[in-house]
Amino acid sequence: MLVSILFIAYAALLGVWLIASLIVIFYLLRYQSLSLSAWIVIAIYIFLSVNILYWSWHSTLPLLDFDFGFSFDSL
Amino acid sequence: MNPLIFEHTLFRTRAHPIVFLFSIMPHIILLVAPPIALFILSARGIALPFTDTDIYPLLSMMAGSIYYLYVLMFLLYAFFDYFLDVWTITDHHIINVEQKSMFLRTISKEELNRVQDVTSEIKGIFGTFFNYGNVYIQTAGAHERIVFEKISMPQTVVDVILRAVKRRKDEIAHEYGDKNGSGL
Repeated sequence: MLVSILFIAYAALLGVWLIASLIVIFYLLRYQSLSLSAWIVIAIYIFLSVNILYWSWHSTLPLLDFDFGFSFDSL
Repeated sequence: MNPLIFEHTLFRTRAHPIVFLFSIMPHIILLVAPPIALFILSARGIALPFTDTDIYPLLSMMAGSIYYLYVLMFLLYAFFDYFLDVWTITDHHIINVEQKSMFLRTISKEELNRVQDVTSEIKGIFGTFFNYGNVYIQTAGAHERIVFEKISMPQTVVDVILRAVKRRKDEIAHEYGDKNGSGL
């Protein structure tokens, strides 16, 4: 039960984070799409975010004891 | 035909990079604080609650990843706030673009020949050391003055603006045969 609540809260916070990030990236590219600095910052942001998400999910999902039909260790 | 097609950008500037560095200092502290705090706690032998439970790895990974994702996002927002404030001088206009918040963007444009007074101001130790400050541009009429906030080399920018204003007023005087350059 506690794990389910945690997972739902985690998913909700991730959703808010994703929407806010997309809005900021959209705005940056809308007004500064020709700027190399903006593209570099966005690339670094996506790289770091994907890394955090990957390691977090990689470490968390096995603990949730859900059967996703594959092992994350095989990735 | 749009007369603005013939405008040429003389220069474009943003706030000094050190201003951006100052604005992201809280985010940097938030990034490095958790590992430092954990290190200090473990060095002093203070155990966190749940450390010995099964839920602890799950909780720490979830909370840690959310925390770092949000700090990263606020860091991106600080960059967004810094990067979208742009001041541009063309050979015809001064363009002031300010991103005041996520959904509040103001763009004001003033003709160079309406500029009456340009003042630079360097304040504080950091401003003096890194050579950044404000440039105030007063124009004719009831408009608010335009402020270039915390830009690099404000005195040089003032010189560039004054030269551009003089050139523009001379052009208008030549065009209209008006020696005072008012364009009327």
